[in-house]
Amino acid sequence: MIDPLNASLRIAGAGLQAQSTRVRVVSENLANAQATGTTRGADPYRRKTVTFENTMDRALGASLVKIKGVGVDKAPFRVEFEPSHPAADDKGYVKMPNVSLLLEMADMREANRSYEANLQMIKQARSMQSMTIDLLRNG
Amino acid sequence: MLNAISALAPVASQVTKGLQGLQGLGAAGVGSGLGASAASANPGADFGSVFAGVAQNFVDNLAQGEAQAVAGVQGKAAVQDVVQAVMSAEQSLQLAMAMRDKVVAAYQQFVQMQV
Repeated sequence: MIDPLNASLRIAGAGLQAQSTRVRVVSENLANAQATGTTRGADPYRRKTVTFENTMDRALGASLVKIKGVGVDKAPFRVEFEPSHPAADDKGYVKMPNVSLLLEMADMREANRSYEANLQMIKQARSMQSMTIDLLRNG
Repeated sequence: MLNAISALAPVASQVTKGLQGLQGLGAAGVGSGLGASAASANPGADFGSVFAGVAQNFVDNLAQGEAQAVAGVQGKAAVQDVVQAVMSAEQSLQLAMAMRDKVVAAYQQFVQMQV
């Protein structure tokens, strides 16, 4: 059995990692927002989504958050009329990625806030540990 | 960095031996010293072994912190892991220093005792 304060440090650390993965996926989506196919009528980049799950860490005796998997968004693609594009179909329409910038920004903000919350948790647990050690120092 | 720290381990064991001596002194009827009270609080383990465990834990934590820091500089470890390991090492360093100060203070109190 590990010290509960140490355990909360580890739990918050797992949260930090999960949220960083989420930020990574958001940046992939944003960077590929204009990535079309290269051949006639080919599919463009498909938006990626992140799902979280909790895993029981036996050594820690606590539930950690973990990335369950990076899936894809099944939403339909936008189409744009651009007959000269290499990926245009017979009618001149090009399929564009199903990435919505607004949605990605909201997701990024949420990841950011969650990251901050986990950092605050680490700060709190750490300050509690330090206070306890200070008791030994000049108590 | 690690060498200076691992040099502390023998010092810690010396202090521990000294404290065990003090504990024997307490049992001989001079009075209930620090060692005796620690032993009565936790009958399974004497103060020496507890202190040795803390020192070992501290050395392990520090080694892990250094390994993670090197891996982080090489770009092999996540920043979060590096920070966590280094903070853990710092925390156990502070704990070890505080314990050392306490033990030295107790030792000096015994040395300066009027008999």
